[in-house]
Amino acid sequence: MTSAARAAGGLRYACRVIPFPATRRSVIERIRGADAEVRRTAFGDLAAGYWRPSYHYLRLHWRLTPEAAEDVVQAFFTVAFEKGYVERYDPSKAKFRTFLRTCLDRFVQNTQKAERAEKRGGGVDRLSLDFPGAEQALAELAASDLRDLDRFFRDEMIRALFERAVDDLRRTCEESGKAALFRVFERHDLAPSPDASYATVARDLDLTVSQVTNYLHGARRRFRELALGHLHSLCGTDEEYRLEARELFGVEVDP
Amino acid sequence: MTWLSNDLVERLRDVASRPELASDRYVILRPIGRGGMGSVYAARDEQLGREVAIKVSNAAAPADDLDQRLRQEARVLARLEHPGIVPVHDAGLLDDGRWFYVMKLVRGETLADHAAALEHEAARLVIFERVAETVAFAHAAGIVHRDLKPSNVMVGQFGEVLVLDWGVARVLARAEEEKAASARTTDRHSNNSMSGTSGGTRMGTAGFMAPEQADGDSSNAGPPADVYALGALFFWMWTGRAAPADVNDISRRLGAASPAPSKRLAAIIRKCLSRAPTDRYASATELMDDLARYRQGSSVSAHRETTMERAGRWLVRYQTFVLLVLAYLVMRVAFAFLR
Amino acid sequence: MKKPVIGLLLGAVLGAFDGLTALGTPEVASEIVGIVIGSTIKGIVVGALVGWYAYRVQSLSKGLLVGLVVAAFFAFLVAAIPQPNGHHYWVEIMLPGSIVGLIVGYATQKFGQGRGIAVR
Repeated sequence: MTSAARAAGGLRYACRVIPFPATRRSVIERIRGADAEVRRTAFGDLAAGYWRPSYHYLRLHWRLTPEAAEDVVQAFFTVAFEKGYVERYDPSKAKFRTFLRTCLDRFVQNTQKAERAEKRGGGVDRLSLDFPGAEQALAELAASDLRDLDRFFRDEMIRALFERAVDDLRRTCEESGKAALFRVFERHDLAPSPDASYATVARDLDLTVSQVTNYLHGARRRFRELALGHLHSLCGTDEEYRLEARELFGVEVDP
Repeated sequence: MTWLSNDLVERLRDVASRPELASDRYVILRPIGRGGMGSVYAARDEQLGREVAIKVSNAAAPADDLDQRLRQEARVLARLEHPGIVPVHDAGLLDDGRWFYVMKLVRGETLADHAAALEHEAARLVIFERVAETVAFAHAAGIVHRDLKPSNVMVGQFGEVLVLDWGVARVLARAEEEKAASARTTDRHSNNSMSGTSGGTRMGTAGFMAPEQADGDSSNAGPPADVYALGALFFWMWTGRAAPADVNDISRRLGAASPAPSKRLAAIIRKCLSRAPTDRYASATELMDDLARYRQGSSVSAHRETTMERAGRWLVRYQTFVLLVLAYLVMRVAFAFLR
Repeated sequence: MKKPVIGLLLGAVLGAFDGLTALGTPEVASEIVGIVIGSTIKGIVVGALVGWYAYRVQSLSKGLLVGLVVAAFFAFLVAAIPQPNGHHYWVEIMLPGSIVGLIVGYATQKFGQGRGIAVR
């Protein structure tokens, strides 16, 4: 927080400001880089960000069984890494998630032609993914409008992105000894019904209203930072990231 | 992993997008709109117990170019106290150091949405003159808007007309000072940040932007650029379209409008839309003067009348007088015949 | 130019013209000089009165009414004088005369400088 903000009657945070992680680059940049470890990490981020949207997409659009969908997800990301699908991405033709979804469609079609999904090692670990959790979430998605597949895929990508950001926020707050920050955020912004006032939250968590306001602002800002960080790692180019950030949070980022 | 329902996803998007103010005076209620430079939210002023509008920049960080422009916009608005300009109540910093300002919450619709009510010349003229009057006031205060268009004009619930979005306005005096300072110090990289933009920047909206702005010379756009935009706005009010670059097209489309504007009014519009700034009205004040003459039935500077046109205008302007004289003459002739 | 002056000048011009139209009436054509002089004086008086009223009261409808009534009254006085042939030209004098009053009433309300107000 700048000194100007403090001088303007700004709030004093009770917690230490959590440092922002190093700026992420777009997934294409990292995957096309020379460093093998960076490439693996980039692909890991890709898989982490897109596996749930892919799973839900396979279940609802392709109507695969849970087992088949799980196999396809695992195989797809493995093969995509091995065969360098992502490196063929051309930003001038479509957004990265549209490209990825198209690759997934083709993969499913090819897999269905073959008799079984091939599982290969290829130097990439089998992803440890919460498929049961994804399956549980499917109930709420059953009524989703699948007429616009790109929109559905995007919405799922955002959901997964937010979920990761929330989990990261919880983890980083606990690691820095500021669990109260996350508790306020969880109690107010993650409550099932949006009618919790600051006073109610303060009473429930034995805090002052001022503390609730402080913590909430800090948590929301941190959440946005984490979400933007993940978003950057899921976009094909910096320009795509800039546009997505604007649409998602109404901010102009400078990649 | 935490599971987020659709409602929670939307809520998180909303709260994470909201600006965080550094004080408790204002409580953000809902988003109103978003432009290229900033986003506007309805908020409640807890001290005065009223609803206001808060505009924050879309800058990702304080002191970014967008942030500075928002600050500039607030300062410009604060200088312009006029019924046609939204008053600024307050300005300050967000939690993260970016600027915001607080203004009156205007309830109404933009001119773009209000077009259906502009069926007659009288209605169009009333709205347009109020816009021109507001811009003339700004010109008199040394400020050029540079982005006039239907979506930046709002018609309030009680018929008040407001010119919005002064985000790319240019302060002429400051621009001249900076130019002079730049020339004195021979610093070729002097930044016109407080007067607007550095040279070579294109500001404005296609179809309403003066040719000199479209060529990328917004830094030198003066009052004639606003006059062009006013002409384009008036053209739009008659035709529903942005003004074309070709003068012949302008005349043709105005003629095809239903109802078409009178010759003198069409001439005023064409003069505003002249390609060369020197061929237009020098300022919105001059335009206003010609419009006043038009309304009074007098000749306008934009149109050279033929003798027949002048006679016709005179007859229309003094029609009551002419009718009375005619009645007298008819009566005299009638008596002569009867005799 | 003030309203009474406008009324006076316009009344004089219209009065003279009105008088000249008597040339179309052969019975009184020989008296034309007197008719024109009289009509002009009548026009001046009517114009001055109507102009004075317009100077004090800014109301088009009232100005027209006053112009009509004043001009009709003076036209009545003229028409009441029997002509050499013994006739009274009530209609031929009062009707056009009243319209002249309307014209002067309109013109003095619309133009000229009123009391404290400059009117184009």
